[in-house]
Amino acid sequence: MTTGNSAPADRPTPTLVVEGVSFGYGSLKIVDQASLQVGQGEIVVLIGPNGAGKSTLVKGINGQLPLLEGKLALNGIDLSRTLPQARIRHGVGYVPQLRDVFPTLSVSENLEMGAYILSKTSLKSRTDQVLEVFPVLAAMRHRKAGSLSGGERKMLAIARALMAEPSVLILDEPTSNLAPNIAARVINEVVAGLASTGQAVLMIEQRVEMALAVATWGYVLVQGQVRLAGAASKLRETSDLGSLFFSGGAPVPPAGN
Amino acid sequence: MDLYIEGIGFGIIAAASIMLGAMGFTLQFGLTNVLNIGYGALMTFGAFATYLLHVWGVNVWEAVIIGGVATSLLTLLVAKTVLTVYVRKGAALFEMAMITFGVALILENGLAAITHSNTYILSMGLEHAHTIGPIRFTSTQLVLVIIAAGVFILLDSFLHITKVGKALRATAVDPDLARTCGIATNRIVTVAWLMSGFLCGLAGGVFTIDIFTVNAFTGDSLMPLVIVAALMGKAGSVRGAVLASLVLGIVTQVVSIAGASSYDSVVAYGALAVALLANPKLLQGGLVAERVQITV
Repeated sequence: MTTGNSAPADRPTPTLVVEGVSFGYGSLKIVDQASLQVGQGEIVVLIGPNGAGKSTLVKGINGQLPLLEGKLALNGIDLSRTLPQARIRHGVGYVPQLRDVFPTLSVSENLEMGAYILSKTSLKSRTDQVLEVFPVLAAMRHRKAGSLSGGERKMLAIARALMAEPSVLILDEPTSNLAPNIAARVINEVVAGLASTGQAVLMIEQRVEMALAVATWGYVLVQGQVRLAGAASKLRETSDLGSLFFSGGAPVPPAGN
Repeated sequence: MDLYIEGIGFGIIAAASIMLGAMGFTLQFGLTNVLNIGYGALMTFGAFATYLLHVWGVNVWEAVIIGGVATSLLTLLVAKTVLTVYVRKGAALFEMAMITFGVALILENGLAAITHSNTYILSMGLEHAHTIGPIRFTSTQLVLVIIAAGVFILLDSFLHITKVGKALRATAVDPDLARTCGIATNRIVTVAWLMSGFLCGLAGGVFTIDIFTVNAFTGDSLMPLVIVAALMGKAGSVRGAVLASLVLGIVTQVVSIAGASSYDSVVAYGALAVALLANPKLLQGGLVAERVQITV
């Protein structure tokens, strides 16, 4: 386990590389020189206390906030100055914490919007592929997204993001506002299932135990900085994880691998 | 009783121009979040364009369409020049409404100065009245209703069948999420300005054919009904705007027959008040109310 940003050699070749990035709102810097990597088939979880800057970091990766410093690359292509609507063409899929579907559009239309960058000919085959992963949505094609339950809606949001065949899928608190049993299904079945398809996933999650159980790697963000990084299994065993959350960002000694 | 049934017929005819205006208004407000008080002045521009083209010898129905195109281009020009300046300066919803009010004053008073505030008659010639039961209507009135219904069917199909139409609806609901999907929302908003401007001009043209006259403030007399129909139908919803336009058209005509012909606006705002009491969320129109960024 490391307190820095270096990754051990046993991780897959990184798909997404984020190096020393800073993001904020106006002159207020929220994320300060954070670095992380996500490789193919990995579920990387980003955890930390409320206000640590997790959502700011992923919004920045998705292009919704200007990059103040550092660089980020996907599949070796520099995305630092790419517009948000263009990032999806480079392979960034994003599911926001809230407002993650178009409620007045049907399930089918939401999927179609997810595939907006694809040609009409590839839309049908891609829809079929995604509905194979989420068969429950197939029966709801004509229902308005706003009428779905919390769990169904989150599935639709993830399916929508998968339509464009992203290289990395970013999930911002996918279990937010979900009942505990539904949250467990989303994490253990939906998210864990994605990794088995080779999908690279970067996920913010407040249900730390649940998330680390399915993740391969984890980063702990405190006060905008990555304070700890390591294999998810090792992070689960870290006894002082809670104290790190509530220490206000005081450095924690390296736990070692 | 027959008089009131006849009123319903007149109401459907009156609803044609309200419907066209309300479809444009709801599309514009839903996509741009700009409460365009200048919409009435732009309808007046469309009405004048139709009148002038007709006077110059263009077929009246072609004149309505060309007038719509001209209004569409003027709307885009106003959006991309005047409104953009204030959006970049950080103007909020209320400030933008006041700025569009300013645009309306300039347009209307400019037209009033050019026309010396005269009212012009758009002559359609004498027409034979058709009768269905107690309802009487002319061929021109029938065409107005067919135009409004046809435009609604085309617009509704466009919004629900085409990729760009669905992107328009998606952007109206959540522009941030739409951008995440790769939708170039700026282009979509430009399309919305053009389409809503066309509908606005069309409404002005149709209205002036319906009432046979045009002056520098013609659009203002239609504006309250258009705004109320758009809001009653839930801002951003074309189907809602059409339904509300029909209700308003019929109610105002029936009230007129009952002897309160000067109370169109009172009836319209009264209907809006009742609708808001029943559903206070009507003004939200999807997630429009939550949006903080005005898009031009």
